[in-house]
Amino acid sequence: MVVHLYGVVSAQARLPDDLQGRQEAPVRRVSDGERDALISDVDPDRHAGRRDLLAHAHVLERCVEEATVVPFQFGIALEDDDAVRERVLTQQRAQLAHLLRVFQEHVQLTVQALHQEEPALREVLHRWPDLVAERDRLQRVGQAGDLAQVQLGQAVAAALEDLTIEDGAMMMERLAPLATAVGQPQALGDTEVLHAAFLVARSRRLDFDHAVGGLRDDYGHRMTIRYIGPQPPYSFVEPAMAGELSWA
Amino acid sequence: MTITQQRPTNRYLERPAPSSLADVINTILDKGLVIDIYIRVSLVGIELITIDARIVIASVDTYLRFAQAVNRLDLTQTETAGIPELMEDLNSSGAKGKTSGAIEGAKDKLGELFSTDDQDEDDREKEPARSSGGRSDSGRGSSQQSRRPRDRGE
Repeated sequence: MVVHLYGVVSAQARLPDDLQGRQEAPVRRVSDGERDALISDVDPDRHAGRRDLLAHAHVLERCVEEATVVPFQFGIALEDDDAVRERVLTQQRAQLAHLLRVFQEHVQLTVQALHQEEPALREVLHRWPDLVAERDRLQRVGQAGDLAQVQLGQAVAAALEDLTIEDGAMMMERLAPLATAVGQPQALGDTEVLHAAFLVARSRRLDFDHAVGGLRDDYGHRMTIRYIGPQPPYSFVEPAMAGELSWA
Repeated sequence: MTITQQRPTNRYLERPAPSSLADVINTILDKGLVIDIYIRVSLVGIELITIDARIVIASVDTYLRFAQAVNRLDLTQTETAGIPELMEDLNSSGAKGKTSGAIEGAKDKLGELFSTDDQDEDDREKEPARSSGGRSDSGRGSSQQSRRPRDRGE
């Protein structure tokens, strides 16, 4: 048996006492008196799969509802409790104290918005009438070659990308002011309008909920909006360590 | 009653939902704290997914599909596009099928990779339902689709 490491909280943190981790093992705390590491026993010979990833994420998501959490990357295991105390809580002491201070009373909320193809194309045609004209012209000519169709498709794709960028910027404008920090923008998939992590103070969560609801009101007819969290501030660990989150 | 006159802040009870598998792959595999000395858990299959699912889909086929899609669109319906209720009906009834198209391949790929995983398939169904409208199942794997670096002009 080895122990899997989920995250670190303050020793004073009150957490749910029925947390179940990887391989259905109970999550427990090992403490140095100031900070606690969240761990569970795992059989290192069993491959990690989907359930293990979800267990890691969901344990931390339940904890972050109650307390400030420093999340660890998935896949860290140590020999035993003593190793956790020594190599994590003691050796990383300054770093953990810093991160807990920076993240105090904050959670990460992630918003992902994806265009739904038909309503988005409808909007594109509505905004760019010349595309409608070209489409109609090709239909009138009949038997338009593949090349003409590819060019039409290319123009539609470009217009859709413009719409995507514009929508993404507008959504960001409405969410960013409610967050303490915004994560590095991610590379976006083809239908993705926005995919961003926000570091949000607990006291502003309700405001943020409402802002996302407002986006759904205004854009829900042509986008699928996913609202994920609260998560521990995964996306802000690196910037916090680099000293880029300046309020702390 | 002034209250009834006011537009509600939003029509949905908005609450964030727990991470799906795709979200998890996006976050916990490469974000979060690491320490120098540790045993790396063996992750069979997972490393593959992050690479293979990024299938580039911007191709001639995609353009042709866009052209076909706009050819099919009946713009006489455009007039009704501003009515949110109608659009919602449209979305909830048919959008899932219509938005698949070219991205389906990448999702299938992701599904295949996971079905070779030794875990049972039921996990996906156990993911909690989203609290608000407008969510299709496309979340699973959607963020893993073709990633085209794009200058967002920020």
